[in-house]
Amino acid sequence: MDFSEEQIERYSRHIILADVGPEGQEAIMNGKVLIIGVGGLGSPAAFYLAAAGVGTIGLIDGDIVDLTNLQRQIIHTTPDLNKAKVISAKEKIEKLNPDVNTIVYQKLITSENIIEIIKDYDFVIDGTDNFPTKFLINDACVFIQKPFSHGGILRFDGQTMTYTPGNACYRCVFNGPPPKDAVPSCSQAGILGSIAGILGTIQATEALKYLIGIGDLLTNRMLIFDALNMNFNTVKFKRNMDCPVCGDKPTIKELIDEEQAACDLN
Amino acid sequence: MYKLPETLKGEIDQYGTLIDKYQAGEIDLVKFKSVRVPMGIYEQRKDETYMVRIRCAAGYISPVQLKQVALIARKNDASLVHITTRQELQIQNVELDKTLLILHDLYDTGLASRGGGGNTVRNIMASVDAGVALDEVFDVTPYAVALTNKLIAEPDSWTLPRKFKISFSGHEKDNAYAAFNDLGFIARIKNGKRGFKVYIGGSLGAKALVGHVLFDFAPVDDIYYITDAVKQLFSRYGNRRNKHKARLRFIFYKLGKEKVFGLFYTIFNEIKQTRDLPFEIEKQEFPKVAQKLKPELFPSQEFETWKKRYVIRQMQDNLFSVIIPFEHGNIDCNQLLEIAEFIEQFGDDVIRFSMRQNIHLRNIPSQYLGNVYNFLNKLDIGIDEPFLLNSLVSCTGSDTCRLGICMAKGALSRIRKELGKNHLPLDNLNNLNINISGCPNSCGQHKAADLGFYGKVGRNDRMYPAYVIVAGAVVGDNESKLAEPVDEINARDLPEFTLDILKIYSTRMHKYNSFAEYLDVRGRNDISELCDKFRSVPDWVDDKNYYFDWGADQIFSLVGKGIGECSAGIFDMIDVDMNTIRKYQDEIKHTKDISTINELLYGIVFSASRMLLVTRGVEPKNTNEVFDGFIKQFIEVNLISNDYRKIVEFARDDKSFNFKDEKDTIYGLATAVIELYDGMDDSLQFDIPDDVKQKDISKIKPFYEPVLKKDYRGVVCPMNFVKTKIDLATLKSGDILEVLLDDGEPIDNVPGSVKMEGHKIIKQNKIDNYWSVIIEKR
Repeated sequence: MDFSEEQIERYSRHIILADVGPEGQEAIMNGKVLIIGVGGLGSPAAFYLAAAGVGTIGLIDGDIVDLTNLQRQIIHTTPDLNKAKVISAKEKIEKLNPDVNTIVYQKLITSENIIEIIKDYDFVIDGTDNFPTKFLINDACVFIQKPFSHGGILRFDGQTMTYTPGNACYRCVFNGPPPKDAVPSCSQAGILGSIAGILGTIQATEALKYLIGIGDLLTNRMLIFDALNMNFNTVKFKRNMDCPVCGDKPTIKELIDEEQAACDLN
Repeated sequence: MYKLPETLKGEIDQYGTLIDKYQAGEIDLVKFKSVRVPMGIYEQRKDETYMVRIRCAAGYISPVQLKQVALIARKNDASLVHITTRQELQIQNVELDKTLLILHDLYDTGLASRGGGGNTVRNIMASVDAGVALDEVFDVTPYAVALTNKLIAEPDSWTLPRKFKISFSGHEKDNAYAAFNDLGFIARIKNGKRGFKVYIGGSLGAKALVGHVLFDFAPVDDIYYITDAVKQLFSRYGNRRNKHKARLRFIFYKLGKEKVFGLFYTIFNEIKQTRDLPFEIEKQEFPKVAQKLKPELFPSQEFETWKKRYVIRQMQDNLFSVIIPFEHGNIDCNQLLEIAEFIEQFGDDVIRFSMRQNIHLRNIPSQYLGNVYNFLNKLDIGIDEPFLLNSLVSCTGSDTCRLGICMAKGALSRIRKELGKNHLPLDNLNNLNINISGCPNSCGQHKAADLGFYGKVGRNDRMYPAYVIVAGAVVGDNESKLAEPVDEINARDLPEFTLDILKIYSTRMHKYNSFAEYLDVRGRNDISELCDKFRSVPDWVDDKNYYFDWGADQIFSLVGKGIGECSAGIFDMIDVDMNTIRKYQDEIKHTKDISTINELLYGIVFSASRMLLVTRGVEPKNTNEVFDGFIKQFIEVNLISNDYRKIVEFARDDKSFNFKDEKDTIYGLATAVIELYDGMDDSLQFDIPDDVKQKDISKIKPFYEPVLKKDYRGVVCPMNFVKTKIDLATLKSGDILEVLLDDGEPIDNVPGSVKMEGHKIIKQNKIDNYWSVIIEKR
């Protein structure tokens, strides 16, 4: 255990915690987390993980910051307009915590590159805004047995679950992307900005718990909340033996990119 | 018969140099001992008195050599020669200077003591009747000797983690205890080829074990490969740090049989592929003896009875073996000389030492049995007595052994006397093995006995000598089984008990094939019923005899004992108090009556105070001595925190004190004592550096020697706690951390927070305006 005096102070409130302690902080500092999508969910997640001292944070996003993002994507600021999101985020992380090694991928994640990118990380956070990518992340993580946190938000609602090898995956619950007409059209879509903050920080918390090895992850259950009434519920489920990707006789054996229009919600 | 290695001469000279250096004070006792013991030279219980153990491979010695041993002993003022249970000879009661002369003389006689002790390849045993037994598979003697020749010429045979015992049995009855040795061979023939069934990891010692079968059949050409591989396995994986867990079998306890076998095969295969280890067997040819003796005939009843008891027919026509018994295996050197000179007339191959510490004289033509009888009769060694009386085996016991609890030899003599004066049909019990050990270590081989005893401490208000009765061992390939504890008996009544149980057995033995079988069917019951008769031990005032061991002139006590490696008797005593503490704590949970609780708490203080006194050689005679002894031996030397002094003093001074208010302190005391006990090693030492053992209390360091010390004065809350946590994270469980903290908020908060996380605050002391806090990591 080799903390500098500055680190001892910086992380003292972690170290004080009985369940974290120096050992837990060391685990965090040795951890590698990949955030896919540096938008509404990725922003708060990246901030908290950086603050916590996660050793390596990977950021992947192909977009640039535009004005509509700033209502909720809090890692980006007005001077960042037209800057690549990953660069913008990297700058903030480095200012917040120089201990963190930030690796950026300024591109879209696809069936071609996903395995190569996620394989070196301990944990993946899905902060994407469209169903095809969410299923792609799920399938890739199941294929190479990589734990990840799924998250989704819309209007005043959010949902999240955590996959770890051997437990239910996203496809166990949702067989595949919804039909096109079931996806909200752009005019129907909207999001209260702070909802992204609530969900992204839950995802960051799952990543930290996983790195430290404490508590119960959101495995085999989905946390669903409705912020209008402020109701939080968890729905339990089990691994589906007939799941096309993680079931006993899987039918999906390779990764594909599914086409789907998406509104830029996150 | 074995060949002395070329290196031996030089090693003896080197030993001589070390004696000089030791006596000149140039090397210390420990260093000298580390050379002396592997040379086969032990210090006896009496300081500055030594014995020299002579290797007798396969239990063989020639009459010429035997004569020389007697002469060497006599020349060096060592009157006593002893036969060991590993078929060797020992010259006893030797002064240190003389040991060197003895080694030189032995060398000239073709005998060596190297490997008699220490972490070495010990004497290699063989069936006492190898080469002559009617039912043997083949003669294993040449193999035992050839293996000895190989091993004693290899330097790494003297630097093993612990002793390494090897034995050869000529038939599946396994009368050389192959299954109870580190490495054991039992002769077999498969498809017309000679070989051995091979056992590994057996032992009769503490944590005894029947060996595992390593090979069901290994051809004779392989035994040197096997032995070498086992030796390497032992050398590589044996525990060299803790000698109490160092024997080969502990590798099995630690890694499990499959893994150890795997490691063995790896080494074995490698040796077989890469090395050529020739193993030549020389069948030693002994010259034919032209008997010049005139046969003496004794057509008497006594002679016939003796023949039945002590004479065994050999496979060779007209030849017989004669057992010459010695009580405790002891022979006066003059008598030994006489015997050697007599035996010499029958040739070179006439002597084997038995594991029952007797001489087996072999190859005696039938016409000379009368001469032998006549000769032995004059020696007055009890050859007119039933064999059983002469085949009782005991270890040396606590009169000369530093480890013993009870005086096994005294008990054996008494049992012998008791059995002898009665009219038991002892000749029917010829095959019975009765063995006695003074402590749970099985030097008296009680674990291989039909009926065995080992010493323990009995306790009522005082201590008295007692024995655990073990019985039912089975020896033999495929069926070996260790004797199991059946009951307990005080030492005083042991002889009478032995007589009674043999009486009962002799009326019932016709129904059973063996004592073990009898034991299973009804022996256990019989023993327990008999023990009930002897269960109550009279109070000291009524009969003091029960408090003296057999052959002792002082009251039974453990003072001066237990500083050796086995202290089982002491552990018995400690357990009494520890169990009391636990029992009382349990009772307190279930009672609300305040006066009962107070009494129980007082009892806990008492037991906690008394529990470890025995380890300091203190035997209190009254309660005051218990408390005062505890304060002096444990609190004042900082083995136990001074925080507990008050409560012990209250218990001493005022039994009616309201102990309930101090329950936490009392429990803390009990825990501290038990933890101290847990940290005690088998030689009853606590984990204290040597310099702490000095008498001067002012120099004694605290028992809890911190592994890490940190000064967090001037560090504010909660950073002092954060740093303490980080320090603890770098330590191992049980390690001690000392931190210095400021008075006020830091001392009010940090110890409590540390405790909340499961660590233990051993103590906190105020020094000027700051605090020292001693923390034990959970």
